[in-house]
Amino acid sequence: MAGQNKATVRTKLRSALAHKRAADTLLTAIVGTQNAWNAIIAKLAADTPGALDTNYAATKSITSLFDADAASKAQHKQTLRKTVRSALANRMAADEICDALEEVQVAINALLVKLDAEAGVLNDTDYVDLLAVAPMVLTDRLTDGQHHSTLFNTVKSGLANEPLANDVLGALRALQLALNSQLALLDTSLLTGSAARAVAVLAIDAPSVA
Amino acid sequence: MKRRDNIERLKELADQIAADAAKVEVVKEEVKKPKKQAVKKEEADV
Repeated sequence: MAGQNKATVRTKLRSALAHKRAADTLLTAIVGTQNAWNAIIAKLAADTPGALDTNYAATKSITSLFDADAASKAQHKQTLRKTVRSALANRMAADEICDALEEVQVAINALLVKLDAEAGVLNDTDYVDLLAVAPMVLTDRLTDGQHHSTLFNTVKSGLANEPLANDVLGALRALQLALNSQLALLDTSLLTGSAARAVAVLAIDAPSVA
Repeated sequence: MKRRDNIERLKELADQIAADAAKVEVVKEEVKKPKKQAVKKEEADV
């Protein structure tokens, strides 16, 4: 593969954000969450509703939560949120990306605590009510951007790369949908079919081809 | 609900669920204790 298409997701995002560390932090958090989710799904798929494990939080929690507001150690001390806002030239779109990632992580951790609180028998029917997240709607119009563009178009334009926008937004949305789908399954007190809620892990060092 | 608000709600919810579960465990232990003591007393009486 030659020319532009040779660039990986990582190199494209580093370039789009004009910030190597911010891009790497964001991608590491996305992939880390995807892997953590898939490990949880594998554990659930192997578990039994009537003899549910009680060590989900102890063994599967996401211990390093994504924090877009942490001060960067980089030269300009800019937070990741501010870097993304600046790159996208749109506060709402940047916040949607940053907060969606943290939200899904926190929801996953809360799910693990709730599973443990079942004390061995899957019985609760309020998983969706308590833990579901609102999936990003890529065609939603952002209300405070000058041109009232959609989320997807804003990110695509800000990153100057449609496949990359697809990769980042698609990865986050897939996590949100997988979480909500698994919560709905848990409300039926069943675990059969859990494996289908695993997500495809973003190949950040492969060319972006979405 | 804004995502930032939901993040805080989810964190508080997880803490609350964990605290409630811990209370249930304490109650279970309290219930077990008298039973064990009663069994020991019965054994002693026999």
